[in-house]
Amino acid sequence: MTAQADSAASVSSKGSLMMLRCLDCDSWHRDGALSCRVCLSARLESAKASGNGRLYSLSIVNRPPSPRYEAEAPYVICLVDLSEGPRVLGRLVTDAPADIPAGAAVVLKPSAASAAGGWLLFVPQDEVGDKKGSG
Amino acid sequence: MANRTPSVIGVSERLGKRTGASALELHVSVGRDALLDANLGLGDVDGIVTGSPMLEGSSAYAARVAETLGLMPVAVANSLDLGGATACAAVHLAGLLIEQAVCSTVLVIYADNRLSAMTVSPVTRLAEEIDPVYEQPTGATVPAMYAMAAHRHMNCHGSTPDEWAVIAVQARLNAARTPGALRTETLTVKDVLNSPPVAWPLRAADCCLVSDFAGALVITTQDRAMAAPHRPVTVLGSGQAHGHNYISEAPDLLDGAAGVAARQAFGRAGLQPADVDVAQLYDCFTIAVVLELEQAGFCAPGEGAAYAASGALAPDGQLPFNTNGGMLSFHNGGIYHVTEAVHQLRGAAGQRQVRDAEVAYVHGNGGFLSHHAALVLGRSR
Repeated sequence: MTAQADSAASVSSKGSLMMLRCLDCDSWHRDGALSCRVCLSARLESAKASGNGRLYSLSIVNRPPSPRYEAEAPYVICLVDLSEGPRVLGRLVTDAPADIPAGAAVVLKPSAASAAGGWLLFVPQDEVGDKKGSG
Repeated sequence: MANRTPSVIGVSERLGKRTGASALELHVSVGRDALLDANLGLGDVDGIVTGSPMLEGSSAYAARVAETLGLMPVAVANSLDLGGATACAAVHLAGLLIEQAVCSTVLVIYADNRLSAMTVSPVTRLAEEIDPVYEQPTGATVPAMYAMAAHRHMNCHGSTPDEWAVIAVQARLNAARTPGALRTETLTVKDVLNSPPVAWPLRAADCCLVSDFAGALVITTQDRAMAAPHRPVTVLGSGQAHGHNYISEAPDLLDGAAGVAARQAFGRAGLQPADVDVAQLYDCFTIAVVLELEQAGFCAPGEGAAYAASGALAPDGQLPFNTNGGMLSFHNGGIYHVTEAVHQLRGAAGQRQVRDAEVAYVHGNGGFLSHHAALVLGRSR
């Protein structure tokens, strides 16, 4: 379980968020962690995370980093505190990002685009069912 | 007993948005000028601390500069790589080397031909500094990283973009009094709020300019400084701290290593924020200044934006800040925060001189609020 991940956390083909859990101290880590950062154990196993979390912060990216992202702009990036512990950077799909407060409940929304692009897509809990994550 | 308190006896700056010079040429020219300013020769220097050029770097860069300049042999040649904290961290390290008698005189150089050598847009190149595994795939940018701190500040403390816009406005007013400043045209709060959105809640005028930069300092013991041609500036205290590297790992975007570094610096100086006459605060984005004001203890946590909006940062305010216009309007880099503090404490800041400036605070912030170094500098008696 030491292969370097190429994305924030792996989303399996079934739409589950896969992370690493320490077999010795039970702490959770992002996929790709090389050893446990709590107890130094090397015994990490792949485990399914809930995909639930709380918004820590967000920003609307108006000016993307490269032409590759221009068609998608503006888009929202967000820091999410997963209920398992780790904080991850992802994208948030919502119509009114400026109105979503820090601390709002968000859930992972598996999508083909985010899986292919290597990023996590979140949607506010309140908006689940209202729309489809398009990112 | 010998007084080994580190003292700045030489200073130099080279200006220009796009100098067209190589990184090595910038290092050598400001290094030479700082030695001339200190009236020292090559044989007087036994240590060198530099940064690491973003685009034209090479291994053991400080040694390369030392060799090119003619400083070899030296006891220490260390190149640091801490983004915006590099200049202050280099002075911190130089001070420790001098205090511990590892070196007697250290040349500090921080320079880069960052804009001259850049072949893609700065926002594109700088985004490569973001975590390539976990963060870059989202399409994140450096401004968006700081924007998330701003969003958090809005949410936790009720601050508003018009409050931190005052920081950019004051920086512009200061730049207008500084020879060589890159942006001197009038800027109002309304202009800031109407500037193009870059990464909400930050706009173009909340972001620093990108330019080449070059500056150098000669630091020696207080004993040796007695013979210097200019009034020495004493490193009264310094500190350095790192709370995270990439932003996903920051325990708290609003409180952390910035305060640790500042408290170390003030503690070693035996001074308080209230003793500071002039502050040079790393201003890659307006919100960074807000966070440094709070964590360095110039105002209460959460009140940085309101403090700035109150006019406290004006030349006649409680805490004159970034008297040359800073990175928002003077030049990029972080080295000019240090050189400007030296100018102020020498009483050599011309039109922008803060009257009776005796104590200066300088803060460097690198990465994504990641790396922090702080200096408390004083006018020698």
